[in-house]
Amino acid sequence: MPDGRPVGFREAARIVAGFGLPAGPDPEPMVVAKNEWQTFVARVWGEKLTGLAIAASHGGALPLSDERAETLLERHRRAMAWCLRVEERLLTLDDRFSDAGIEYAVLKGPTIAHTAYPDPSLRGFGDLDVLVRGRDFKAACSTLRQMGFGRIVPEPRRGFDERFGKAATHRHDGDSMEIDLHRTLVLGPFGLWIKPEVLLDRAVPFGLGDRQIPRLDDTGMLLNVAMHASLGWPPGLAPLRDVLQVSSAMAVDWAVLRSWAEAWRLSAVLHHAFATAESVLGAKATVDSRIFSDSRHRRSESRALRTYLGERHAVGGTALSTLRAIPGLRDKAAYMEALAFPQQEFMRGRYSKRSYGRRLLTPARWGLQRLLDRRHPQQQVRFTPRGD
Amino acid sequence: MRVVYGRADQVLHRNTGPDVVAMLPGEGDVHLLSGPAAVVWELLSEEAALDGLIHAMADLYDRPAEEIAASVETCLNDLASRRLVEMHRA
Repeated sequence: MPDGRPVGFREAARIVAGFGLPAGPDPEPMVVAKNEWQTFVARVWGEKLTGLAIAASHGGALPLSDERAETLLERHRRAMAWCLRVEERLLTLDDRFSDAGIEYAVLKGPTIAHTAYPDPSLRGFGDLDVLVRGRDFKAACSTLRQMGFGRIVPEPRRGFDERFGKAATHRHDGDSMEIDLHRTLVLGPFGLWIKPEVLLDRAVPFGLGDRQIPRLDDTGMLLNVAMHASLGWPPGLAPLRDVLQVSSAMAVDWAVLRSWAEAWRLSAVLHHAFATAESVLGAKATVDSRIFSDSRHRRSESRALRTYLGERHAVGGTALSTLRAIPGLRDKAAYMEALAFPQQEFMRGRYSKRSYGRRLLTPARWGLQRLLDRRHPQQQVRFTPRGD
Repeated sequence: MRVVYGRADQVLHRNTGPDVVAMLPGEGDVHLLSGPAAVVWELLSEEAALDGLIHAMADLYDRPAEEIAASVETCLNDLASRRLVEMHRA
């Protein structure tokens, strides 16, 4: 067994996630404890970090026995083979969306792998995320159906997607590949405050095989990965790496990003994303990112951010903050009605037993949980990687 | 006029440590290129003539060019039959 500092699987995964960052520490060789190796492999596989683990191994940070190296390589081969299948599906989607006149941009996944990382094999991904305009959402759902993708959970009420929705996950009938069709970047108030059409107006192409596929421009990409890292659930290591990778490797227009942050109430989110990435990965973010720690965050931003993090997320925090963010009583009422009395297709997709009673009890369950939490207060703003 | 080999433009591929996985969109199969095939693939990041590839492989593997020429050509033909590699007249 090679020599190195003994580490557990969590610490090893975090070091791997930060490996090779320009302003990262120079990690000393580490060896994952024998009884944690399989868990480590599962973690880097699940977090799409097999490429960085291989790089860390080649770079001396993760010396491996032949047996362990082969285990990791085998996982990495499988992960990369799946990435190719996802990209192949993306090319088909591009054909179909073009034929249907649907304007779109690919988010995260392949775009980051091909543009922000020095080699696309360093960034794995498992599905596709595409952003379309609200007016094209229905046509895009229909096109995905023609491609063999079925929507997992229907919209709660007709028109909900275009007014309040974030995305609809579609799964392929054959290989179970998923495509998240986005109308905005995140669920909840921040998704309502941003203007996705501005991001789509600035879309640029990236090369995939012999084709040019639309993606967000570098500034939009950073906004997207930062929102995902800060607000996505469950929190992950790869999105945090993306924040530092994209901000250091891409031509971000920081003045534009700052203007978006002010207009769309995202300063607290961007500050949280950079601070969390630095803290978890132990690497410094580019100095440009300090504009978000220096700026004053509005109370509404900080309050909304707290509802995405920690325990409040699980007890209706995002739904309630969305309600606050929706302008106008009529729209607020429509949102509440859709969630309280969704259509039957939604209930069938969401719950094994179609029960409006269970649905209506959800706010009561949230209230009870909050009462219990108040008796046992826990830290509200924190980072807990998946599975910890 | 000489024949040069190059990767097919539409091929999707990834490095996987010492190996490469590659696929031609629409064909369905993901090919694993390992050993000398992965090295040939790496050398084909730029178009190259057969004799140039043979000499590059001979240098890398420290073997006489004539000893490995047939293997390199077989490898290229195999990659071409999978349409991962294309031949052009330069």
